[in-house]
Amino acid sequence: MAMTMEISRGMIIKFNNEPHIIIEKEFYSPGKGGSFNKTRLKSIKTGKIIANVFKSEEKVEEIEVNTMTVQFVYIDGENAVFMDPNTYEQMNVALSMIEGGIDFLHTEAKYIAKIYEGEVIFLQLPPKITLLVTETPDAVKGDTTSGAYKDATLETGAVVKVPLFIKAGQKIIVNTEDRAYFSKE
Amino acid sequence: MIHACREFFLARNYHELESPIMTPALPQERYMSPLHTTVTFGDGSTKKLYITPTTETFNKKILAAGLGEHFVITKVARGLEQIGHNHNPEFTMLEWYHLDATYKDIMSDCEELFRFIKKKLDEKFTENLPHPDYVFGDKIFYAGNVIDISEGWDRLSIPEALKDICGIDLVEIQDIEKFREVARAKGYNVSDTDDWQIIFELIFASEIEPTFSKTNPTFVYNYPKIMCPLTQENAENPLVCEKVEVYIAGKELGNGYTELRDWEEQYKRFKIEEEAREELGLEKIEFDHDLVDALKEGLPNVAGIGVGLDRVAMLFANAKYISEVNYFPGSDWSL
Repeated sequence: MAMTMEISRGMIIKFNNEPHIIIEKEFYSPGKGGSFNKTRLKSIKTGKIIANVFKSEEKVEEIEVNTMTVQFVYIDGENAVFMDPNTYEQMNVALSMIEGGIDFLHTEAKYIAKIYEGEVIFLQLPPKITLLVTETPDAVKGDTTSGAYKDATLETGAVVKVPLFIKAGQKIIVNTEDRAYFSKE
Repeated sequence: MIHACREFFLARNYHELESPIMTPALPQERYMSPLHTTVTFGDGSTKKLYITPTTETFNKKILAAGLGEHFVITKVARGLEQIGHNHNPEFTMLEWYHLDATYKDIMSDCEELFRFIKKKLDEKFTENLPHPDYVFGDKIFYAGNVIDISEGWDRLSIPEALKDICGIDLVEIQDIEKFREVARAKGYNVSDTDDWQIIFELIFASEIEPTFSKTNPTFVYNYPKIMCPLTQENAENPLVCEKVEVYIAGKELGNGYTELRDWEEQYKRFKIEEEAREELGLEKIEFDHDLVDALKEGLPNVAGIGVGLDRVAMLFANAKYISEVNYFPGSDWSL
């Protein structure tokens, strides 16, 4: 166990003496008093979700759990199936656990599974993912009314905002955390 | 959106002020983390400058010089520990100063401005919608909710919120030790070094903010005096100042005041902030004597506000992250 101030999504901490996983974290600095992290924590034992605000310098007790790099295989109903690339052992991860990231599942990307008492309790997306643009409208010269970006549909079904020069058939790198375009491959 | 802001104020005969992006001194504020740059002159001498974090000092100096009602739209920058959903180190600020007005007039201005921007966007986006769930009229679709921006936004005063929501009497928590005790009794993790503002923010973010309507904007007003170094005290309750913050969909979009005009009081409060920064171990900020001098010359009765336009754009674009409304966000800096 380690004390840390670096709170991040997917971290498992001891909170009210019980293991909790941080499922959402939002840093904010109101400018009139310190910096904070607004979090939502899920109890590993009961599944109950609670909100808590941590001061940014507040230390939390991190619980070490097993992590494993896994490969995405396919979606089966309510689950995504992943595989340990060394043993080929497959494991199910409820789609609800990957909320917001289901359209970033690709067989060539690497994911990290956190395992606690034999169960996958968190699936971490790679920070950046390379995906093919399957569909995006051609840029219209002088069209600034539709805002800073145009939509692009990626091979996984994700729709992200891309600069006007991106064309269908190109591969782009996207930040999975904020779904923002990062660069061309 | 920026065009709409301009049109709104120009129609009211406001001047547009272009403010500097560098400045040698700043108002003393406890939790301001300014960024710096250094200009090196031909003779090798250097001058340390701040990158403007808020245009307030320029607005007040120009008001004292007699410019009158005006607005600024400019980039400002602030130091940040982290880039967040709603935080980018640089952002676009709209500030305006309304004469013979108080923070109550600023609240009305805000309502009218938002409806005006929305109307202009509606006219622009007849076919090509900024996002699939865009709704027309005095409504904003954001994060799954339809927010009603028609007249009569929610208004919540801090002393009432503390009392009704948290069961805390602002009179009783004036003393920091007492406030720590009250917060600890409620289960907050409060250390002996946490100051009044930090404890307040913890309680505000944990108990008060979650009660805000998801479908109505909220003005939060009458903030404890310790949090308002540049704001006029409220005549009815001297424990609070006439400061207002506007919240929509959990985002703080703007921060306005009935401006403090008494130079002696301003000097005193800056000194308190300066000492507080020293106690907190924060960098010393060059004292903005010119601002105090400008108040000495005389500031008209005025209320002003700064609104973060990136966050406003997030609302209209239904964007979860500030990076989505910036071509070149800080999150692309490859940390």
